[in-house]
Amino acid sequence: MSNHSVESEYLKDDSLTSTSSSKETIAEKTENITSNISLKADRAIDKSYSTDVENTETDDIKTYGLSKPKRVIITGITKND
Amino acid sequence: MIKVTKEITGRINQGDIYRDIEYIESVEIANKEIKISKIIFPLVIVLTQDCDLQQDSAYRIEDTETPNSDNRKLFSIIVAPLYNEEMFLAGEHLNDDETITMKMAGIPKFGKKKKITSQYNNLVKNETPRYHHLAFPDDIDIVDSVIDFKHYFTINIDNLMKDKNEKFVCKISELYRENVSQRFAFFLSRIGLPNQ
Repeated sequence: MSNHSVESEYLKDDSLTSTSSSKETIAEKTENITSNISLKADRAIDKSYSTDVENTETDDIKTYGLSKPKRVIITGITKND
Repeated sequence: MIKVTKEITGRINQGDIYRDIEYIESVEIANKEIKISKIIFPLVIVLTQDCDLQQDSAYRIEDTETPNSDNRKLFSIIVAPLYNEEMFLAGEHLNDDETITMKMAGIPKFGKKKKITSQYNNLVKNETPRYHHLAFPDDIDIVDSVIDFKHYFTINIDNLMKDKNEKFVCKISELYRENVSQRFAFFLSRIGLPNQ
């Protein structure tokens, strides 16, 4: 299957063309569509297309400061003196 | 919005922000068993005076087995944690429902009629002595954060030097870091009088 026909399949998907979808919703739906396609053995995944979509949606997401402090407890046995 | 640089220098600077820094809470040894409790903070900022850090760095760089004096050596550096602003406002920044369950006082952002509260305004204007708000530029990978001066702690400088390049995130520019330093010093030097 050529890349052009795979891209056409994406464009025909109603969820991607819906004008009422928020950016976050489109990203989620894109991810769902990508995962669904991966299950179909006879369809080629256009990785460059899906990667471009992901980059557009995640450019403004910050990665530091998203988690909370956490406590870790380590136990062990001391050596004999 | 503060100014920040991602350039790594050869030494630790005041205003440096490091990730995943460990604070040793306790070490217990009993019946040949050792138990270490530590807290890993996602982000901390260096508060030690930069002149002290510069002198310590010069001392370490001197390539002599027996330096004339160890007078400039530092044992540890002072840091304070940065908390995610949203989690901080909700009072949830030290509660992961599993390993740490501290109940912290939140700060409401909106009041009646969805107006910004005076407490939130004071926070972002850095008029609340205990906290320092940092709004990072869009091109810096850190969310808006709040420093809690009350939670300062020290870390061994030798350990940080080993992991410095790996754990370095960014550095606050001089003017802004001096503001943080001055407010931290003011917080430490405040005099609390008893209620009469």
